Amino acid sequence: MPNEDPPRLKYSQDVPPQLVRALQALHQGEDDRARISRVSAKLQAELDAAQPLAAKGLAGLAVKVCLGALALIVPSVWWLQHEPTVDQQPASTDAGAPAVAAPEAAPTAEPVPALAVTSTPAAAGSAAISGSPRERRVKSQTYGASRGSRSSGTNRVGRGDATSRDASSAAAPASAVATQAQPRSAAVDSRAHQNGAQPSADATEAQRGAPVEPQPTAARAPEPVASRSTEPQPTDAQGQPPINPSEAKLLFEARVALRNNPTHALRTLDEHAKRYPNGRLVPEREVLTIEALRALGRTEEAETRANQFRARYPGSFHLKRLKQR
Amino acid sequence: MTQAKRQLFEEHAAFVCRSLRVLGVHEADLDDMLQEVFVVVFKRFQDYEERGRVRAWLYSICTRVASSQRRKLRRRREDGPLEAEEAPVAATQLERVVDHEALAFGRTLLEQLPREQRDVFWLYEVEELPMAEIAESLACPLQTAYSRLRKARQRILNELQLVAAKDPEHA
Repeated sequence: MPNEDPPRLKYSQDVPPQLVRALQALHQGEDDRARISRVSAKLQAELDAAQPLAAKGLAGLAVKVCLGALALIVPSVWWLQHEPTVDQQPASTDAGAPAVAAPEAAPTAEPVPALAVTSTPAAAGSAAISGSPRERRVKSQTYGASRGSRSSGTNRVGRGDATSRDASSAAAPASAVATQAQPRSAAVDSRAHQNGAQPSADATEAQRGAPVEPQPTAARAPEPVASRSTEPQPTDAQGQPPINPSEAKLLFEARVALRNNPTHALRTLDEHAKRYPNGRLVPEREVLTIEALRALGRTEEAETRANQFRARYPGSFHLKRLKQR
Repeated sequence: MTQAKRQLFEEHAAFVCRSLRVLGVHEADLDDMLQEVFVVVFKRFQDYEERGRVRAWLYSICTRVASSQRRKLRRRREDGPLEAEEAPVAATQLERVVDHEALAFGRTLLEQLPREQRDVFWLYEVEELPMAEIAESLACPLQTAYSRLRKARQRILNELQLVAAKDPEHA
């Protein structure tokens, strides 16, 4: 069949006139002008009545959308600004208040060089910079173990005990720390390093089995690091090995010290750089270092390092902090 | 009423009235049906993109709106002859009466057609829409539309022969 429209019946010669008339009449139709006018008025009234409601609906929808967007944006912004960095993790763990208190106590308790920190490590330990649940479990286990050894007189750093103990036993802490998870031992190590305290027998590796002995000697320091670094650890959500609690703890200490003692903070950061040159928290260390330099008035040096950081970590969210500070 | 909707109404209201009648809408219900059709049209106004095939689109809406009305019309017909329910026509002119009679006759012929054939026949023969537009609006292939038109014509012509055989005056 051709795709051409055939001639219409009303224009054909072979079509009965009756049909032609009918088709013409159908096409002409009735005189509907009055009807059309009536319905037009009804439709106008109906549309006018519907518009305010529609507007309200749209306005309400717009309000809801805005509120929903705010509900998403505000928490996200807050979270980004207050996102706990690795060095803050310890505080977020079970340490809770004690952990928070401990660090703050540390700066005051210890003399500049000493981490007399006896409390610091304890606190830090309690702060339990546990980078992973495993760390926390070990910590809790070691804490339990440390309880038993406390009686031995060692200055064990338990979460809640750190503060008081530390104040009394500046030298001991290192030894006691061992009972804590690696962070504690690390702190103890650092302290021991400075104080030359000797680990006590109680500085056991109740800890996850790592040779984390709380030996505050400089020589010992590397060991735990090495051992810790070699210690088999599970991977985190990103597939990377969990953050070393000791590493995180050091940064935490530095952050805490940064408030009132940027010099000490810088010293702690240097220690971190020596012990964990390629640790997972290098970006955080760099940021803290820059902040410490700025706090000490070493602006030029700080900006140089800041530029290096930006070049090395162009997509880092720490860039915000560098801008803000 | 927005300008676009008003324009749409003014341009095609008469067509909708004619279509509704062909589809069996009672004269007394035509006002309501006309309004109902355009309420639907305005609701779907934003969704309709084929601006060039408005009449075919309007016709499809008319068929749906009229279907329920035709059911009512059938009930009314059962109660009495359709002529008795027709609104009185103030036929002061011969043409008007003739037209009315031709109108009624034409509607009767169309009612004999199956819906698919009636749609094509009405849109092509009466409203003079192109077949391509009719086929696209009715969602059928062009050849199918041609086939339906051919069958509709045949049925109408047969009906005319029957009417002529029964009533030679109308032949």
